[in-house]
Amino acid sequence: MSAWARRLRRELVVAALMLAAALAFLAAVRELYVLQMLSFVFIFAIYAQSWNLVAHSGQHSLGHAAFLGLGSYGSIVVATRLGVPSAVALFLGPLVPALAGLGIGGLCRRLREAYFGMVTFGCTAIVQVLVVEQFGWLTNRWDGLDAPRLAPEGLEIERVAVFNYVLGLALMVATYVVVASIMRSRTGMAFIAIHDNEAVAAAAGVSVVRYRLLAMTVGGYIAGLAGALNGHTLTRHISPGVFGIEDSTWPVLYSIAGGLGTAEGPILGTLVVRVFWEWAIRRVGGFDSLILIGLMLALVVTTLPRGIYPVLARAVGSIGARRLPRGEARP
Amino acid sequence: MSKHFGGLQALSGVDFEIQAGEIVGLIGPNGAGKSTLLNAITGVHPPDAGTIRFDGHDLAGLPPDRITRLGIGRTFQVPQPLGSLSCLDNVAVAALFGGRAASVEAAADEAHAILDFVGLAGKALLPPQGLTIVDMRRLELARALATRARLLLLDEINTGLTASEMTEAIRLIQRVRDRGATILMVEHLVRLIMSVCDRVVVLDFGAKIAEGTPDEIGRNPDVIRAYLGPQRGGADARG
Amino acid sequence: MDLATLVRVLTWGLVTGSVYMLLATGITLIFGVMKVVNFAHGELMMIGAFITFILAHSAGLNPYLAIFVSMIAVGLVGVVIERFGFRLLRDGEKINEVFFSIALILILQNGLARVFVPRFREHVQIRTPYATEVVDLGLIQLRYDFVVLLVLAWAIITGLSVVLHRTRLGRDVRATSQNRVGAMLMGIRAERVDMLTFGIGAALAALAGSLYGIVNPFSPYTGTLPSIKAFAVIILGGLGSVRGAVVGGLLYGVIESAATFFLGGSWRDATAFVLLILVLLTRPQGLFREGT
Repeated sequence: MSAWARRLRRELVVAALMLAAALAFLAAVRELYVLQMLSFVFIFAIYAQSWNLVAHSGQHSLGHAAFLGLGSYGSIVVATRLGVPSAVALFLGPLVPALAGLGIGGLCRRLREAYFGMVTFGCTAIVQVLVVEQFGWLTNRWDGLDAPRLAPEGLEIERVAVFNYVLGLALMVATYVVVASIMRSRTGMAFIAIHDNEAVAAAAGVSVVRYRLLAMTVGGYIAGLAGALNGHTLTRHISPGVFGIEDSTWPVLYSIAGGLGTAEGPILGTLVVRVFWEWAIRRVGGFDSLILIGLMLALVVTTLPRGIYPVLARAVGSIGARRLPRGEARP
Repeated sequence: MSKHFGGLQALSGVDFEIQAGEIVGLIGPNGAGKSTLLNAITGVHPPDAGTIRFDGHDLAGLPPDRITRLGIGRTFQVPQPLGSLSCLDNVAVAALFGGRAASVEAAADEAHAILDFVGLAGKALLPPQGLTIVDMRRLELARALATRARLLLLDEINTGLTASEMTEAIRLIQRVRDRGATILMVEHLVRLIMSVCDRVVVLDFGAKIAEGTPDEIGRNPDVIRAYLGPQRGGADARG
Repeated sequence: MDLATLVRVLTWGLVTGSVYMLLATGITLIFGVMKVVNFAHGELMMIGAFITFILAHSAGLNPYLAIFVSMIAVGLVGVVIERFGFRLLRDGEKINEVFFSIALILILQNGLARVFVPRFREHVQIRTPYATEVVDLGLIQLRYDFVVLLVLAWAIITGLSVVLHRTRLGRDVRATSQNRVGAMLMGIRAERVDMLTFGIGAALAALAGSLYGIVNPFSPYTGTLPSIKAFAVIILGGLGSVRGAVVGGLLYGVIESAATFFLGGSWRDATAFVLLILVLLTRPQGLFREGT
């Protein structure tokens, strides 16, 4: 087994389990609505994964929807205006938010948390204005664009749902492995160091600016992938409404619910919150569901003795101890 | 290897050199500019005027991580471990990025060895929050050592230690020097400096007021005045 | 461009600038004292606007009087939010305060929406009894509402300044903002200052929202963009600096108005971002260090 596989032993097992469980579920359940809900979970787990990775480097972006939307727009524009097949556009489109991540990350590379929050908070609005006004000729302004299908032509609805499900699942698991791999790599250690204390990280030889930029760029790509996937499979459309507060708050919520600092957290969190949301929205309607979720978040953040993060940071710390080959065997 | 300075707001006209293999002490009353000097060398607050040369390189304008990779390591006066990582990982990060370890696994090996050297072997997998102050200082030192630094800047690494802990610490510093490092120690405790250092530089109000062997410094009237002068109250001098 | 147009651009700039100034001042005051960025400020703004609207339209109250009721109401909401929210997070990691802000956005925005949307659908605007009246300045004719708005905003800010610099309360606020521990050692009850400051910040947001709602249509979702511009103003003027917020807000309003006039409506919202990007390009650490 290669060193990489050895290092990621645990995650590869989890990935295999996830695949097995989800495929078994697919075989057992044929209700379209459930499959669609899970497809949504897969896609937004990728999105949450992206936010979580960037947060891992100490950059808690409050405007992540900019990446999500740009991924959709990038992919759809490339597919419709340049005639690129959707399957290729799916992976080309996210290059746009990757570039945006580089740019935004570059502008914010020295900003402390408060300023960083404020600037990223404004990012979605900036991007929305650009998309609607300056690039309106390309993006059809407020009306948005229709997305060509990813699923092969001629498939009936049921098969399309299965196709979307499997594709979403595959990409989610792949993203999980990639992100876990990053977290356990040299790069991941740089991220955590920067997250904990930039001055100490720099004194240890970590190039803070370079790794912050890297986090934002990779994060931008992954979020863009989620957006592109969403556009081509579920919504079949993209419009400037994606650049709102809501879509910027979801990945934060999912990541917190599942546990910051781990690779499985965003997946778990997306599943739990999404299922709760589907249940709640049937009982009390859209607005109340969101209020409930906000209250839950507020409650969790204020009642855990020192908030959620320290609890999980301790968990990360002990994982970190095992991150490198076990030291107990040494003399 | 040499290093000399020009002017800085909190420092003015500070100028001295350090030869390879020396242990140089940097002392001075509170507010004399000792930490400012360290920050200037490591690129945190670069000097407004003057030059810092290290091993043929000009350090002006370089970011702190680059300076670390050139071979200068430092400890922080208030220990600041990376809270999300175990002690081992704290040191491994420095080995990876400052010390150019080839892989994460290789960095772990190096980190184990260094923790052994400073006496923290048993605590490698613990999170740093639970450490005693002595151990935290050792962790700071371990991290600095892991960067393969040839010049080590130790910022008050012995403050708050008991007498026996201090003897241990002195022995450790000497072992570090024997391994081939050059050391610049900022210290409050004049007696400690006298017993460990080859040479001493004294700062007061941001300027260098004396330089020489510990004996010379001990007899220097300017130094005595700086520590025992009316505005100081003599609280810092210990003989 | 003739003088009349110039005056018109300037006046509109001051009108919108007053709104930004009030928002920015509230946010920066809160940050100065509590070291917390209130990301839900836009939501407080809209709640304030809505309360004024309801009082004016359903209870028939003169909007300019309703504003004061709204300010008090939202101010109290702010006090509650601080007391039962941010106060509990003070000792933990700073990031929790950000998460809490996000929770607030969800709660406040949707709380307002569930009341608003079923009844009012898209947008409303606060109508004043003076909507058709103008003040004749010879050169141009100014909407009476604009004049009242400017006077009211200026009066409140001046009043705030007096409170901050001439009263014991203001001294406590300034002391806590400069050095919290030192202030506590001097006997100042920092926790009370926190509640009060958040309340004042919220009240200012309500005022900003109400004034905004008199000259613009609004909905529960309209608060986001102005608050983002307020953030930009604060980054330019210095986080924690009231003077920076006041000057910056007014200045920004005028610049935005000029940009809209010269470059077209599509550039209106882009102004803040262009300014921000320019600043960040030249000084990546921001114009001021935090807390000055």
